[in-house]
Amino acid sequence: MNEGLKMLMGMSLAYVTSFAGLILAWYAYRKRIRGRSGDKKEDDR
Amino acid sequence: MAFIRRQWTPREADEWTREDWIAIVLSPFAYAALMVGTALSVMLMPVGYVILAAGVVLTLVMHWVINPKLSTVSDEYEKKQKAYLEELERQVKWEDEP
Amino acid sequence: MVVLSFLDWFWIVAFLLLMVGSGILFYRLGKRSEADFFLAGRGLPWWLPASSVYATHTATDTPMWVSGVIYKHGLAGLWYTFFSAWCAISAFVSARIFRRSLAYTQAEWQTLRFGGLPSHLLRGWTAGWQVFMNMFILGWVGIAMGKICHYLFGWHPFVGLMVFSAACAVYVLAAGYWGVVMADFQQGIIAFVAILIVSFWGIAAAGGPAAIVTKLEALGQAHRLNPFAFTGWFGGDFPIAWFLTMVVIAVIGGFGMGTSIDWYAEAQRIQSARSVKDAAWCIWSGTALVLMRNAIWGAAVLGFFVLYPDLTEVKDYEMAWFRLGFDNLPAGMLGFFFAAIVAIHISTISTHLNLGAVYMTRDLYHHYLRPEADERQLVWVGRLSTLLLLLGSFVFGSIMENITEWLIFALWIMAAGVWLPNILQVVWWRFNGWAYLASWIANLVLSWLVVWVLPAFGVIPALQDYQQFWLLMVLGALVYVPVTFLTKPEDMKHLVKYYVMSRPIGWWGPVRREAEKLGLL
Repeated sequence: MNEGLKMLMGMSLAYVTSFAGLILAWYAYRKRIRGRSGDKKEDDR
Repeated sequence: MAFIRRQWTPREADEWTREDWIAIVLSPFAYAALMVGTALSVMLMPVGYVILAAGVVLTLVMHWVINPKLSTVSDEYEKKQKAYLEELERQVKWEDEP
Repeated sequence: MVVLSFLDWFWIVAFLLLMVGSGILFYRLGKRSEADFFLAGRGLPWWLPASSVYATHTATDTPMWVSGVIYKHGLAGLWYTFFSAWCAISAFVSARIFRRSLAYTQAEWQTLRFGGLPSHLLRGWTAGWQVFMNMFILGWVGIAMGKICHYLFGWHPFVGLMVFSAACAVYVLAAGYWGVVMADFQQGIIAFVAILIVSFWGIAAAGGPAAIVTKLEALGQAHRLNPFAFTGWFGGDFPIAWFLTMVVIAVIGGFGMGTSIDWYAEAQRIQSARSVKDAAWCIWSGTALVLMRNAIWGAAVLGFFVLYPDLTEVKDYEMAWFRLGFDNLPAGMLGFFFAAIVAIHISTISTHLNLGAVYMTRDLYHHYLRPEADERQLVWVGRLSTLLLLLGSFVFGSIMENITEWLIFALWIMAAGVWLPNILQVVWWRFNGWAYLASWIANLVLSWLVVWVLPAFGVIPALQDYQQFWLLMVLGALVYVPVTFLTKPEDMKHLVKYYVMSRPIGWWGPVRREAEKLGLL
């Protein structure tokens, strides 16, 4: 394993997994909230 | 010793008071004394026995001060825990209010 | 290499069967629900999770790094282990507040304390990070065991890593946190007994305490007996400035959540306790035992020092405590010692397998992927997560040697700048989700700059780590304090709900007044 790859892996692994979790949460949140406001619009009609 | 309360109503126990601060201050010193005292006592150094004894005393005092309050907080909280748990499970399923 | 007799192997096999078996016994309890698989049904008396706190913080590499700092610094090295003292204040403050929130994980707590989009971004971020952290710790601790087995039996390090992690995974997969805690209880006792026996045996081999003191004086090394042997205010190996910074970080950090990397494992133990009072005492007593154990090791390592005062390589003297055991214990006891090392090891492995799984299951799967999952499905996802963590740890273990230096660096700088925000989230009502998220993101950038980039370009000098800590704290605040005031406060209804349930310490005036107005206090 060359030095550059070692450094890249070591430094980025923690951030990559954290961002992956953040993106999953963001996506799920938007789906739920959009779903709720969609329901509300249905009720308003 | 009226300076340290030992009887608590649930409402009073939920507040942060002098007893909490005494425990907060004594606790790290108790840890330090227990750690240093143990090391020096194992080395059979008399100063170690003194420090370890101080650590034990600090621990006992800390417990004496804070435990009655913690018991009241605990008992009162337990009455409400079931309702809070139901609310938590609603939240994890996104069934709580937006 | 060490040669074990039949009696030695008997101890080892017997203990392994006992530990794995007792964990599996709780299979029926562990499979009942998510709360059972991850929190043992929230019903444990203080001494059970306390023994888990103790057992978890005694890992295979723990005697190695304690040996390292004591050999190098004498008893003053004990202060390097005093980081655990965050539990001193936490037991009566943040542990109490966290237990009252009922959150399974610190990630879940983010959505109780904060609201809206930023709270979810924080929950996802924390969960993703914790899955990684636990996999990393499993690899790290696993490889430490691999090295010990290599030293003792000549096995390839990967074999030592795999064999014991896999054996441990059997009961964690079967019984979840019930298995972890019940096995930790007996592993804690075995480990403590072994630590006492080996330490005192080693001290005896060095001539006994009085002889060690005499020899240290004869070597001109009597300062090693003084836990307060500072080398000046700012310079040398052990400056007072470093000591005070460490004490402040550790002790004041107890007001916060996550100021220590150990918080995440302790949070699970706190939440599994049957009451707020049990949670407080479990944390306090488990840590007290950890610190006293470090002290016993410290004395033993002084004994090793007088036997071998001229070691200069860390890899030689970090084996000090292990060598005291393996060099001095008679046949028949050796196996008991190794069995205790196995106990020490798998108590840590089991904790991190289950801890990583709770973040994967409760936060990432249950809340974000399938909120409608039933208890049976959640337990199965828990098991699958456990398996993924195990396999991931093998991968990590195999590349660990190569990436460790950079990884430790990244982890340290990730944590240093969020120390104060971790406290503010507990004590200040106005500190909101956007501010906390901003503190994490800002710290990513600032820590790279302060620790790595700017010194490389000569813009600032290369600083000592305690100086970096203070600088990052100030720079981070310059970002998240404006963000706090430039964004709206959290929704008052949400804050009141949190306040009434958790009754946090600190600056909560407006929220408290609102709660009183609503007649909720």
